[in-house]
Amino acid sequence: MSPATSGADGMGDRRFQFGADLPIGSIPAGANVLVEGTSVDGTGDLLDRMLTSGRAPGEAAVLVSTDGSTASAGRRFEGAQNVGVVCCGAGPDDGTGEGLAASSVASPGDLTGIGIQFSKVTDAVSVGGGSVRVGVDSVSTLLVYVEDPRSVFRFLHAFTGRVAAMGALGLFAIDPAAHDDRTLAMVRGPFDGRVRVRTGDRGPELRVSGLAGQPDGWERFRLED
Amino acid sequence: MQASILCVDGDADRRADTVDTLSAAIPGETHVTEAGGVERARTAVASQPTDCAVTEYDLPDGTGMEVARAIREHCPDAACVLYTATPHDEVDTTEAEEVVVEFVPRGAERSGTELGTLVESLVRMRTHTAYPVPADESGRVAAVEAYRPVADAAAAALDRLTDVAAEHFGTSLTFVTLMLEHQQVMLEKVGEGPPVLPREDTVCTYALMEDGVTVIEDLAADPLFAANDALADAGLRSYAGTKLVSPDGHVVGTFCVMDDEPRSFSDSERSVLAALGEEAMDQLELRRRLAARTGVER
Repeated sequence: MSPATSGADGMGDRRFQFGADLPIGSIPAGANVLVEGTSVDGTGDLLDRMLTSGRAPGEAAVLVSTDGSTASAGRRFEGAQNVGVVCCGAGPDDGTGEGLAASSVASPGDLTGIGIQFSKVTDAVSVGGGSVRVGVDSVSTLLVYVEDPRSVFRFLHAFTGRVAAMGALGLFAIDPAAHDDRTLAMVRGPFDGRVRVRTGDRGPELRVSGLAGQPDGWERFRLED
Repeated sequence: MQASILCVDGDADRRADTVDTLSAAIPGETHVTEAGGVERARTAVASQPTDCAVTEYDLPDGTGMEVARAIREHCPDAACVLYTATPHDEVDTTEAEEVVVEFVPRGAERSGTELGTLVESLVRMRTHTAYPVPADESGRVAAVEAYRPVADAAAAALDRLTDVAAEHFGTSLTFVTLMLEHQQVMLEKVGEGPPVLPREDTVCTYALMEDGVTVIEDLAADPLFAANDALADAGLRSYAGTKLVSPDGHVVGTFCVMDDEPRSFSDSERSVLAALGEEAMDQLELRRRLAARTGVER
């Protein structure tokens, strides 16, 4: 785990599991993972499943959705328990998904507001101080809305640091093709590992790097219907 | 761990409770400065280094977001925490969308514990910087501090090297730096440039993270630097820099050329710049060894 995000003591050997449907080994509490790929390759779908699949009882999930409405977030997580969402750009009349703890900020450019609303939603869905999975979909949108990428980096640095200190799991999506190499290198800095996503000859594939105990090489996975 | 904390609250009793919480949570030498409002907080951060500010949202002369903006202006690397009973939805971020703060609700059963744990981790991990930090940053900073005392002794040699570089490259600004924990300091330069810059405003802080010579042919067209007002205000459009690497492998500074026009740098020019950087590092190392042997920083 990188010095930037190595978390607080006392997390023990707690790990996050993903179930049999995803070819991803368990990931230690406090880790932050960058999920790299295009939406066409199923990156957003994979992120949603990593947020909710294989959760232990009482484990919560919070998504910062930079693109969608709270209603669409509700559809994404229909039937899931202990899930919250912070929607960026959702209006007050946008409505909330059924059973979803939802909050919103006016724009993906309101990085300060995202952090504050994340605190609110996390408090709402956490069960007895249990574990939390945190998703941000996507970093690419933040880089589009915020003029100075240094602000996005400060946000990522602070957010991943908070994830580490909480002993949570951070999952951040990005489309690497949308950014130059130097910006991408800067974004990757605070992350402990990467999950790259592509469409191979036989369908969607993923490859985990930077994290111990993971499958070696590209692995197929199935997109949700 | 040494930490300088600013605690801002208009209610003196509540502020005292927060100070007690912070002092108990952070091991080592903790210096806490108290302020009763925005203006006093602004004065404090403008006059002294601050690692973290913990502020109430509702203040007698403004809000905690104004404190956060003052932090970003004067101590941009510092962490900022809103510790308040004000509901999340009543915090107005309109004028502070990019300052980035942590939020801890005051008044809940475990609020004090949560605040203490959070501030301790923020100070330890420095997670509010707007730039990437090398993996062994504390070791790197310690290495830099070994060369600072001999910078004057090396000045004449570094001056000759920057003169040679300026003549060779014909650039508007040539300089050699040490990269401190929060600031870049120019040891010698040819041309007009600020002697001290916040680290987040420099190109060199990114060069620290890259292999070989870093070149940005047009800063105004580069996605990472196009919005950097410090560079634009200085009229700087292109950059080439090489790292100063100490014998034990720490990157302590840079040797750079910048120009007021976009330009490219050939492989040959990059090699020359790398050689000048190595020579600058050798000169600093020589002075450090002499000082260590004689006890005189000459």
